[in-house]
Amino acid sequence: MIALLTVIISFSAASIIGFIPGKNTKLIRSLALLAALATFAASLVCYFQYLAANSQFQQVIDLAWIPAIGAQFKVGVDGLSISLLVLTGIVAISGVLFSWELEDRANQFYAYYFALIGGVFGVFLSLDLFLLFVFYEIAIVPKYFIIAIWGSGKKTYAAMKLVLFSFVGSAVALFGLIALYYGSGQHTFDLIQLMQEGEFSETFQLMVFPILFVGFAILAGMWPFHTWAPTGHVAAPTAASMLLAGVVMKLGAYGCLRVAIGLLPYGAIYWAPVIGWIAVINIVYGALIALVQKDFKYVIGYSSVSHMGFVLLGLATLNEVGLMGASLQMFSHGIIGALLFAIVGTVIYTRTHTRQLYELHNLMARMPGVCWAFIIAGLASMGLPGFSGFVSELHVLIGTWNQDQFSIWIIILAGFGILATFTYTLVKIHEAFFRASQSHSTTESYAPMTLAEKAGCALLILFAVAIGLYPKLLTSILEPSLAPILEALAVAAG
Amino acid sequence: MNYPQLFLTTLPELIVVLGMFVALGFDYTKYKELDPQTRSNKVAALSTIALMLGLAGVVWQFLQVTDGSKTFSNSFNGQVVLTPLTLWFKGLIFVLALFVVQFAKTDVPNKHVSEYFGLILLSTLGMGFLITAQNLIMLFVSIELISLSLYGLTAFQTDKKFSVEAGIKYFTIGGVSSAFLLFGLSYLFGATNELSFEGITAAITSGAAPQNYVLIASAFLVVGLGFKIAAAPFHLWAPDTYQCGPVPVAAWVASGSKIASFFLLVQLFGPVLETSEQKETLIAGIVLVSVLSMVLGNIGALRQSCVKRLLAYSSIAHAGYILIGLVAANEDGSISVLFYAVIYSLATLGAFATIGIIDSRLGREAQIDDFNGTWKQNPGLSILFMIFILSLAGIPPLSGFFGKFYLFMAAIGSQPEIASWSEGFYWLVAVALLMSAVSLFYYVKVLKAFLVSADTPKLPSIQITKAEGAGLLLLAVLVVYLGIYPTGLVEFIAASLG
Repeated sequence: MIALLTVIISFSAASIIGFIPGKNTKLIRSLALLAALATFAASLVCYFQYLAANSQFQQVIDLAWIPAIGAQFKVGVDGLSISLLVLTGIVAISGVLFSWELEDRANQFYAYYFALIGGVFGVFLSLDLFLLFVFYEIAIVPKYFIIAIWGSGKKTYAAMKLVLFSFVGSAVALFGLIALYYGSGQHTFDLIQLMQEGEFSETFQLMVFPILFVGFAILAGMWPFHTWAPTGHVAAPTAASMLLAGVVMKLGAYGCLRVAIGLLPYGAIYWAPVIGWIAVINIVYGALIALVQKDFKYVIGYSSVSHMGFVLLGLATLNEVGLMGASLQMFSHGIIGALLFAIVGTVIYTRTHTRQLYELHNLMARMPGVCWAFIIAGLASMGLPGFSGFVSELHVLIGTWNQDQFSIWIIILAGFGILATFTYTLVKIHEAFFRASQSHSTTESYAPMTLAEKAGCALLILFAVAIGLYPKLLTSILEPSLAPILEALAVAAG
Repeated sequence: MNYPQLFLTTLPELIVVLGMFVALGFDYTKYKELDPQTRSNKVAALSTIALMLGLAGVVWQFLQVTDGSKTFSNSFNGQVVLTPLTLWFKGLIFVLALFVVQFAKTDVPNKHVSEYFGLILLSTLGMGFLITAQNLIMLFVSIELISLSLYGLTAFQTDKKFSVEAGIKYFTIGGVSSAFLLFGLSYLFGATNELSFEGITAAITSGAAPQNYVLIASAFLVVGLGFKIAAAPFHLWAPDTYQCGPVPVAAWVASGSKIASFFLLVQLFGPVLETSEQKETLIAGIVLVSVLSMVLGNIGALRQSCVKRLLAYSSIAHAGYILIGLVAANEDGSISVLFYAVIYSLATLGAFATIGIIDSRLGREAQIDDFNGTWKQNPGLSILFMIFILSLAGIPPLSGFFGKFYLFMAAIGSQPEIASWSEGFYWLVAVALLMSAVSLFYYVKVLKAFLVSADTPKLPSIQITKAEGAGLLLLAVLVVYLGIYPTGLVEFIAASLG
């Protein structure tokens, strides 16, 4: 029940805040912060409850809903969903903190914001594929309005592109879901029942797995369907970029892992090398494009594509270490991606009013605090030891090494991708912060970070470091949740 | 003939007819000197009372029938079949007519006020009879009653050239389609030598009827009814009729008459599609119509700037979606068609009513650009409109989503195991899903004008009457409720189709 509270709080917040007159910005943002904190608290309670009683699925609520199509209202959590619930809670709080100054139509902003968050929470909680899909689609429409109303640049174009990509992705996934319903012979959408009793023939798995995987992976930014991500992230207002990069892309990855791999292990084994190739293309391509971007936010946008490549690569390994790496990378990139977008989109932009790298000069002297925050985020993003990125990418690489089906080139390219990540991060940090300009010799300081910004940065850095130093915080809840998937894979591999 | 029984069976209709005459009589005599708006309010009030009393009659019949009373067991050779299902749908038609009357009364096209409402009531009766008719003669008469009333209503704005043109277009094409329908019906009668659906079904399933004649009859019926539901390639009348006729009439054509036609399609084709030897050919034909409707409707809607025309194309696309449930040719298929017809009508009536309210206050036909910034001065109206449009787009948790999902489930369920892509209906569902993605583009485009644009609103702050507000709110609540909890309605339809 506590897990379900996250969804209830989010949707209640959306509807209550939506009806408060837009002028009461103070009331609105306090309520928004309160709601975000409440969802975070609920997710933490789930976390500790799960640690205490280590069973497979907890807090399962199972209500009859639409028997005509075998759909139930069935929710519950395991370690995988809890890690993402916590992530969503963290990003939701910091999103509110980094939108603290927002005054234009604040009530509508938070209405859409919490509708989106509610959808995201719902997906992570659903144990029924129909319900999961309902929440998955609920999360689509608010994104359009957030980007089209509060975004910048080519915002309506980016918003429409993002929505159409998401919708096409979900339509493809829906097709796969209906096939699952009939293919299982069970005539149910119950995820647990399908996992335990669904008997999918091998030809069925070979045909349906790519449909499901691609359908979900479009939202995870899989190449060549990633193009919505950079444009969408860049045009979106900061809080939305944080949510998009931080949690919405994880929806896709979560669907790939939970539904596609979890239910169709034989298909997953067959298609793993292809996914492996696509994943390294994601990593290398994203990193190289990030290297040549002039717009700071585009750099972060493409780095997201690159980092999601690691998630996909981890998924494609289909072994314990690799899947663990993918799950850790989802959490890690959720935190770090959100932090990078927050600093570039809000902290730096509100002071310099530009996102073009060549217009930024002497920032290290003029806003040292901000620069240090970004450098920490950048190091975390590079995967330096001590940060969560290191743990997750190391897992993924070891998993890749252990995957026998992969060509040696996949490993080499993944290594090259890490090198490219180092390069673009360092180059962009240099360009943005350390480059002194002859023509602009001013060293006048910018305003220091506000309390809200400091709090947001601190929260995100705290979690990036905590997971980096003590990954057991997550691995201990992820391990039992990945076990059944690995078991199914082992059975399918024969 | 058992006259007391006939009287009780047609009681709701008799009440409405009586109400109509009362309204006409008052309008011609006592209200003659009043200004048109006052007359309109008074006549609308009388029509509302008549419809409410009629609805009460329907509810009474419904309660009697569900209680197992034998009062209505005589169906007069299938002319008026009162079952829980037909009564429920007839009740729905009356309710929708109530909404339409509320939306129509603020903006009567010309001084012939009572004729306007009279025609709305007459078409309501036609739709009610069409739903309860399981007899070829009664069927044709009801369809003609609906059609003739709607032709007149479409051309009612006599001072506007386009309204008259739309009416004539509708009339000409509709007349041709009626001819097709009549021809098909006569073949059906010739092949089976029966007038009641029951007899026809028995003749077809037992194989007594010559299959080729049944096929020819069915083909003509598909064409004839294809016109009525505005499915491509028989859709050409729809854009002009929806755009140029009075808006409440367009709403009525898109909602009430759609429900009645789809109800008829399910009743008529359900048995034929399940048992006839020629069902493969027939299904192939309907699939073609369905695909054409989805593609032409959605592509056609993309570039429209007039919202009513856009909704007309979207209604063509929706006819395509609904036909997917029909070709499934199973029980789920029939249930999903009826369910979708209901929720589609609710959403489309709401959308048209909103546009109608805006048009009437604006004094001209609103283009999409005119809605820029509407959220500033009319937030409530914008939110309601968003609910209707998102339901049409099939976004959960609104009912349009479950409706579509159920249609797709039913279609794939008819043959879930396939050996190649051309078998079963996976490919048809894939087309429908792709087309849904296309449709999202234009639905979102309309919503963008309403909710995104920060321009100074072109529309004045709109005062909506209490009746209009209550109507829109109720429609929105139904659209949301049936999306979150469709089980009640689905199980009722399933149980009564039995």
